[in-house]
Amino acid sequence: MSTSQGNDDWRRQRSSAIVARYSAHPTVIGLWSRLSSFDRAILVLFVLILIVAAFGPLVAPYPPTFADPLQRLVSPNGAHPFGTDENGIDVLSRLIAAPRTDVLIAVIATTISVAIGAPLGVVAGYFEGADRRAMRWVSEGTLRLLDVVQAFPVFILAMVLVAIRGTGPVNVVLAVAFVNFPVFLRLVRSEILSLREHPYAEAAVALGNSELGVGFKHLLPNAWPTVLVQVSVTIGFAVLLTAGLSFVGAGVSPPTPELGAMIASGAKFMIIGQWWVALFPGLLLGLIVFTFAVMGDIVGKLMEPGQRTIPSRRPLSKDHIAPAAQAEAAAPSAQGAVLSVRGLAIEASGCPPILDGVSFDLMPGEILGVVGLPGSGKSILIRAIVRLLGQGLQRRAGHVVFRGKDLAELDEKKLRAIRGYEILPLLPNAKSQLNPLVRVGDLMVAHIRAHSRCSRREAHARAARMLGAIGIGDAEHWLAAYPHELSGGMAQRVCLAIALVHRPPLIIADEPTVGLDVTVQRQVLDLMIELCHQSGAAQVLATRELGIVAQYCNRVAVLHEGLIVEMGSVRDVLLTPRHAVTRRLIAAADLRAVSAAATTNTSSEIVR
Amino acid sequence: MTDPLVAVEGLVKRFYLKGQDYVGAINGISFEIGRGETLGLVGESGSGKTTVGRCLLRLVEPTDGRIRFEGSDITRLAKRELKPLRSRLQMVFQDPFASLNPRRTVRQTVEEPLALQRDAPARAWPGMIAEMLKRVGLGPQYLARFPIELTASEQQRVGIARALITSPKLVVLDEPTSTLDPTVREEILGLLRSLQSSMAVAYLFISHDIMAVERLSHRVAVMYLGHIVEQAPTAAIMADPRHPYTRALMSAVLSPDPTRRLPRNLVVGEIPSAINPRRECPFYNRCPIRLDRCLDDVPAMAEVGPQHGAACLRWRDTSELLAEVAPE
Repeated sequence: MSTSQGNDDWRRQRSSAIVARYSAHPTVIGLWSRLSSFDRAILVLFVLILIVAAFGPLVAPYPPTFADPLQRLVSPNGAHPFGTDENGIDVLSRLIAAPRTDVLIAVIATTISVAIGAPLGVVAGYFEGADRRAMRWVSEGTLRLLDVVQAFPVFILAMVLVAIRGTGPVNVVLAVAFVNFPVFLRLVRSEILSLREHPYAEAAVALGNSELGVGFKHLLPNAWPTVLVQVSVTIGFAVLLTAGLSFVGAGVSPPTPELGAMIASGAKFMIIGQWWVALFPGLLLGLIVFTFAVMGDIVGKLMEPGQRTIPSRRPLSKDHIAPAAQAEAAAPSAQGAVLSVRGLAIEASGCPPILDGVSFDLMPGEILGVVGLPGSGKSILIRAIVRLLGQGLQRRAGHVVFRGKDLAELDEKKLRAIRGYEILPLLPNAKSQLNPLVRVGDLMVAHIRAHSRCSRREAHARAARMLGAIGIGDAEHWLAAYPHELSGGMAQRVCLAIALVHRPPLIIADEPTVGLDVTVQRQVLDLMIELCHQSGAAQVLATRELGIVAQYCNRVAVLHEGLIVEMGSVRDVLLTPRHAVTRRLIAAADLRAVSAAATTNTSSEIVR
Repeated sequence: MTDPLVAVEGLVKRFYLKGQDYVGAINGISFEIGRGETLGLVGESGSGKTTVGRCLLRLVEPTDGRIRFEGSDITRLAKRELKPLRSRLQMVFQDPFASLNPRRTVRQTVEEPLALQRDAPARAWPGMIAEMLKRVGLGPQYLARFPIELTASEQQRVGIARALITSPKLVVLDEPTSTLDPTVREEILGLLRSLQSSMAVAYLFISHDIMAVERLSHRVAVMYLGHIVEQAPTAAIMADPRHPYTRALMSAVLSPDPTRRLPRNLVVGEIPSAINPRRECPFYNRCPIRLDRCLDDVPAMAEVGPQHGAACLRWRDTSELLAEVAPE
């Protein structure tokens, strides 16, 4: 039952096995190099703000509460670069001292919000929909309580709280913490809701963890990255809220240096031309909030699992390559080949190649199996033929000649016309490739009409015929269905039907049946090969199962570390392997072959 | 079997949907597992085999039936009574990467069962962990690594080490090799087998791959739509399968030997929906040799040979019948 669920993870894991592995122990320099110059500037600014908040008053030109009655409302000059306020206090000195109040209140308040919100979020998330009624009620009740709290505008709520308890920094902290804790509760709850579906959550239960143990020891640590991003954003917001409360006189009151109060005291002079009293605190407040908000993104980037690093690969010496494969690589493209790949090399920038000069020819109607160990480059080869490479991968050399056109050099628009029409890529896990919002019929009709002129009605009729051809009865019902209604095998057959609508001369498939049940795999493969025979299409089929190659392919290429090390007819290669890798692949399949032999015998008995 | 390690009787698991509808994931199955024995449970997705494993560990609550483990009934144990049981009853999961907490190192992961059970003093843990990792073929250099730094094979070895460190009596292996490359699959199966002989652990090996099951199991049970349709010692079922579905599973195996002809495909279509199952042969709508009376009731297990049962009315001559209905 969990087969389909595991597929995505399997694919993700496999693709990372091909390209690289993550570094889980990032260094400071590694982290720094991951940031753009804008991010770096923000990071520097952030550190500066923290330094000013911590040590600012030590370097300020005047004490922040030192009032000089003779110097009231002096405009910016040499002695007072930002001028003075109505009491004759130097604005710059107050500015340097003010962030300490705001940032400190915001940080403490946010910490309290997290400390209250996160544990409640774990409980609410983990027990949502739980079997035990009491726990379900706890979860439900918490959420309803939140709805009540969040029904009030944040600022009004904070003002009311301060009004009840009186002004002063402690009450501001409590008010700001109270209005922000629902943010973290909801965030943690939604994170836990998705994390609890991970297999490691179930594994943790199986090991004997209590429910709360799973929630707090296993799930919460995995929710932290998301929470930390929000923490940074919320601190910025809390600074604004603190300043806002002080601005309306409900927060920190003078003479304590505080940005909101400074803006409030300067606002009344704005209109008569003494702009500096309010403007500079306003700008600083904006800068602080902005910096913390952007820091959220930066924290997110830094918490990512890590940069991809490509394992180093020794260049293979040519002696290791079987002679037949060498000969084919050296020869010019064969006459009449549908597809001729010559010296194709793919690399991730600045790293050793993933494909290192792959060459082969494919004749019409031929089915070429591509096999290899994990990470040998099978999937990359399939994708490289139609240039469906992910980000970071590029072609370094080589040509992919399809019917006289070099796909590697073709511009994107012309390639799109070929891709999906003359060449059809079939990728694993068909179900996830179908757009969940588009009905099967609409998808097929759109595909038919994209490449051939016909009416919707004609296209619909053709789509229905195609479904019949691939063994899906009741075509009208399935044409009206959405992809989630299809089983995995059916989805792969629909992809196949879409693939074959235009009778493409070439199909390239990467593990088209992985994750399907064996009896369904048999049906899909039988169908695929039969349709190929009917239309004379050639096929490149990358797979890890030698059984598929042995039973369905004409020729086989063994890929190893980005090179074809052995190639030939399926019989030659599988019965008299030359290369060590081929032998290893056969050995892995061979133990199974012993038993498969027994089965084949019993089955052929049935036939007799 | 005298004094089996696990005895499951009439296990039923239903997942209720809206109203009276339910998914019949397991519809009354019985089996036993002896000490140090492997029972292979084969079936396609949707057959309910994974749910059986999860019922055994009480990760889902059985709807009906009885599960006895080491002689005591564990079907209705309260959650907190389950905890001491966990050290004797463990599980290895299908997806080696996803079943490891990505933020825990190998050491933390393998240590957790010890920390939860506290049967051994904490100072003994490092030695036990090193010893266990050695048994699964991982050196001490792996201790500080995170799951993402391991290959799929190493990840699954860590999963196995975590399951075996408390010396359990039974480990449920839920498709432990199905996402692995064939080369790695063989390694892991070999490892599981050698661990079984050195640690005297019994396995419930759940898989859709009948060949993998054959490699590891002493006995095999074939599941279809929540029923066990055939059960026998491995050699017997491989040599003489009597249920048409078992035959179908075998005929779908692709031999890597190119000189062997592909056996004819015996069944078409896919496993039907498990919602509100009727009392009839579960395989009826895909069966090439069905009879009208197959619709009367779920066929009883017929005794084919010693310990060999098949739930098919036509078990006496399945192979002849199959040869007749669909000649090449």
